Amino acid sequence: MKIEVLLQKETEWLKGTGPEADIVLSTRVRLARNLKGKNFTRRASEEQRRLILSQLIAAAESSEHLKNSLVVELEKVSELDRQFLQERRLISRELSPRFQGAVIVSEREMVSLSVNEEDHLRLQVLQSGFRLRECWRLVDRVDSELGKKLEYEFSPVLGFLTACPTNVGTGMRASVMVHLPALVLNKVIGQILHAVGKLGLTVRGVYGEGTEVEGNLFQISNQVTLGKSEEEIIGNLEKIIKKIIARERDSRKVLLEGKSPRLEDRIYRARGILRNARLISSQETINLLSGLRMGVDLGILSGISRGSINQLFIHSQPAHLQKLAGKSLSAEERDLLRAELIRNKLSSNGDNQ
Amino acid sequence: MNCQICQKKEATVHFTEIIGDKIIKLHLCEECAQKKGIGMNASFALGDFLSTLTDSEVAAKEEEKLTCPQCGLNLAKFRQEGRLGCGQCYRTFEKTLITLIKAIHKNERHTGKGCPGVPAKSISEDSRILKRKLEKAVEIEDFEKAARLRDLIKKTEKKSAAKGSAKTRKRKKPRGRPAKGPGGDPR
Repeated sequence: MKIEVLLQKETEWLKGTGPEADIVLSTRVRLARNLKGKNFTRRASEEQRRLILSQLIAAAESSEHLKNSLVVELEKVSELDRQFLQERRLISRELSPRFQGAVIVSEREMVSLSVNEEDHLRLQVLQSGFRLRECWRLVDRVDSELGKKLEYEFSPVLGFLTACPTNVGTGMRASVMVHLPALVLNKVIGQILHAVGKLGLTVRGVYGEGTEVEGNLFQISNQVTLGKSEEEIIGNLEKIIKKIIARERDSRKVLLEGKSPRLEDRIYRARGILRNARLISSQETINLLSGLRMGVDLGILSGISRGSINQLFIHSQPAHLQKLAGKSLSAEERDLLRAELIRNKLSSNGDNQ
Repeated sequence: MNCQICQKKEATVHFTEIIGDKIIKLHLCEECAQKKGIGMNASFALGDFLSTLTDSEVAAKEEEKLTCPQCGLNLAKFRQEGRLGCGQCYRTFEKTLITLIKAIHKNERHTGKGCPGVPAKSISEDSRILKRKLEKAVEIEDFEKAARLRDLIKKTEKKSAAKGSAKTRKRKKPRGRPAKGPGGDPR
């Protein structure tokens, strides 16, 4: 199977459906695990890492949820492919061909297993909408399946042992991607993020650690992995995010009731540029798509589905454009193709008001 | 004073946290602090500061010279890379890591999902924690507490010995005491 198959099949987390889909794009839960008695990835020999890789591929084959998956060894694919997988959130920036990194991806990209990241295994479940409990149950099930075949590095006191002490214990990071344009527009976002930080959660941009917040999209995740059970961590995160969702809804209502011309202007301007631009950068695209999405979520715009906005959001990224074009493109060629892709998508949606 | 990250600019953002009996101080310049998101979040992701944090203020002196027998890591290298080398490292650098882990998680004990084939918690681990507490109590001359802990350790060790022999006895005499072994429900 080639990587391009991912472009043709439906991706679970991009569907734009599920609970609270007007605010929550996706939910992700990942577990970090290491194999017993083996050095962690960066201090293992190349031979050990290859052995770990083949062991994990075999274990995945025996798992109900990961058998017949797409296996991508980073050594065997191009830099562009690697970037493509990053844009789809299937691998992190830390997964590297230098360390025999690989990823095993299930149908619809719902379950994936990164091999030889800083930990031997990083198992993730990624779904659309606000589904923390569902994601946890699934990742728990797959983890237990794999645990029958593999022996993990585990201490009765400290739990699962990880390369970084920030992951020790449950090894679990649960994160929810939220779209908060109204809180940003009303300038209360800083205050909310500050409070979130105090409650032991972390806020990041879309692509994880060290990335910037763009398009009013925030990724909120648990910081603590030790001393609380997985259910407790999930419950706590769920509670806080529900509050943030409520605040965003309130802010949206205030904006709508205020009939602010500024709000409408922003939304129609976003659609205007997206429908007419001939050259557009990925950063401008993300910010305008955020405006478009807000228009749809507030019921100001119709005829555009959240799913297609989500898809544009990913397809307009540099590696995706080049995959769609089937060749490598310069920055300007990308801006040209991106603008064309967006125009086609938005006009074929029949939104002609 | 210069920033602890870039070592170049004047440190203007100061952060102090007291963990157990250790005081951890961070001195950063405006730019590095902002890069690490301190401006926005009063409590920041401590993980980003591993290399800064594991300086001599946290490290246990006796572990400073150790090398992990499994992977060859030492604390100097850990400070540089911010990542441990293997599971054994958690035992080799136990004291340093416990301080660090408490700073990050405000906790030192896993209560989540268990691992297949590993008992949830063993009594010997319990007595190890109690012994550590005892050491601390003696250090701060809280002898009343120390005496209580000493009795508790004796009790747990007796229990663990009794269970060990109960197990061996069990083979001969299947109708022993009810199976209330240490390996209960991992959660």
